[in-house]
Amino acid sequence: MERRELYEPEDIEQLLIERPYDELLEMERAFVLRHLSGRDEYEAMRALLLKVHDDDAHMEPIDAEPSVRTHVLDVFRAEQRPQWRIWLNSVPAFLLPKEASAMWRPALALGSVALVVWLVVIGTRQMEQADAPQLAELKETKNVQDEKAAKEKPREPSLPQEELRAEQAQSAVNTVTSTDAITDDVKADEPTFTPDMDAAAASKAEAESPAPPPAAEAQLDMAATEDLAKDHADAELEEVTLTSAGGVHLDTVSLTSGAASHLVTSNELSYNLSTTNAAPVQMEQSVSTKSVQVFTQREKAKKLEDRKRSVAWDSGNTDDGATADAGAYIGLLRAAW
Amino acid sequence: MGLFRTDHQALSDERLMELIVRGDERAFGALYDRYQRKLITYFSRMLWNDRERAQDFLQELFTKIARKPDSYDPSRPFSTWLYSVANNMCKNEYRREGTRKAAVPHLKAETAHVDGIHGDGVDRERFRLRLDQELDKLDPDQKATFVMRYHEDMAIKEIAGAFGISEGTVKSRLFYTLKKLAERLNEFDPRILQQTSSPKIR
Repeated sequence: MERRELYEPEDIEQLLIERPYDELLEMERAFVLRHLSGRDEYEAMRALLLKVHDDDAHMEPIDAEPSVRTHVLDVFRAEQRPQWRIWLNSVPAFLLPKEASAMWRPALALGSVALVVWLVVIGTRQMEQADAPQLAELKETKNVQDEKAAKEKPREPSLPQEELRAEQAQSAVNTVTSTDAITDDVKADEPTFTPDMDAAAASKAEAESPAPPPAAEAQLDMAATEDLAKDHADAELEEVTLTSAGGVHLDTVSLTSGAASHLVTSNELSYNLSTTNAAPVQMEQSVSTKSVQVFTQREKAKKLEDRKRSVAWDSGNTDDGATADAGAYIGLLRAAW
Repeated sequence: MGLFRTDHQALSDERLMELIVRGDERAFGALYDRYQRKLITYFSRMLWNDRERAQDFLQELFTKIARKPDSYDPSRPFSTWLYSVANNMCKNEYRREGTRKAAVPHLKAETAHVDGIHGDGVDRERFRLRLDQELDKLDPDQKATFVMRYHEDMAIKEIAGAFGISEGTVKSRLFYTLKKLAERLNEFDPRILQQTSSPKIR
């Protein structure tokens, strides 16, 4: 068994190269004879092997033509041109290489990406901070342009100003409506002074005047003159209201009418203003103008009603409602007397 | 990454292949220079001493490496992988030209010109032609094993790696190939030559 381990059939090659058959040891010769027929076969194989070695030693080397080298290098160069293709199945192999020594590649790549992202974020923030004053400057430039445009076209108001006025008008209408409702509530609770009550009291005073009833025509003339005077006062009030700029201080404006003269104080306006949550300046202007207009309209309507009543009373032409009111007034007067 | 230029001639085959995979053209050139002579000799012997065809095969082999260098398995020795690819190319050529495999060497042997060679050169040329004839008659694997071992001087281990077989199988294959060739080329046995050349004693 030991000999078999030392000399396998394939190991005869070494014996053929080193020694002729006559120089083999007994043990080696026995091994050779187990695989070969005898001395002749051994020597023939040895001769062939030596001849092959001799032939190779004398053989001229063969070199490829230089064109082959040039061609394969051109092919290699062409293949190594950058091709921006990223195959999906190559991404995991790149991120998680088998060799630990190759981990620096994904680490470097991911670090570079993180650095670029950080730089972009920082740069963006700085750009935003740098843009802020520029926006302010742009706003000033816009104002200058608006001023120029206003100088060039002074008669045409800019669109934002129109919108602002429309909003102010709308808010004023809403405010007046709400203040009227509140005023009605206040009238019901306590006898506070309001323009509506003042006008009603004036009309009642006129109706309750103890002057003897003149002729109907004379009364009509007097009423017409009073109407003209009141209309004149209303026109003056409207002019004052429309021509006032900014906040209108109605405590300086007196309504000099004969029967329904009334001075609107700032306290009234402030009271109406306090019931709404509007801006002070805007509301002061809107409440004052609108409330005055509504007040004058109501005054006109009540005066017309009073005039009709008085005419109907004097002429004896009694309507159903007017007669009932007249009866009530007469009852009150008698009770007073 | 280094500061000094790499001496590609001193690098191993495997290291050169790493550089080739990364696109190092000089490494590719160094590898070509290292193996072109061995491979063209191998192809020439395997392909019936047809040098033109051997040159084409050499170009095709290195073109494959240039196009797909990552097809090389780094776990295997480069020479083993290279000769396995070369052997497969030769086998494919044998299949393509199965009919010519026996005809062409025979024709070449008949038309071989040995007139300009005298003395030992004549014997050597004759022996080479006869050896090639007998090799072409062998099984392709036996022929390739013989050429790798005795013409390319490859180690048994390398041959085994190229064929993907054990070293014992390679040794056994070589033994029987040598035994067969010795029987067929007995005219070059010195003892027989002495017997034929020596005058008969009556």
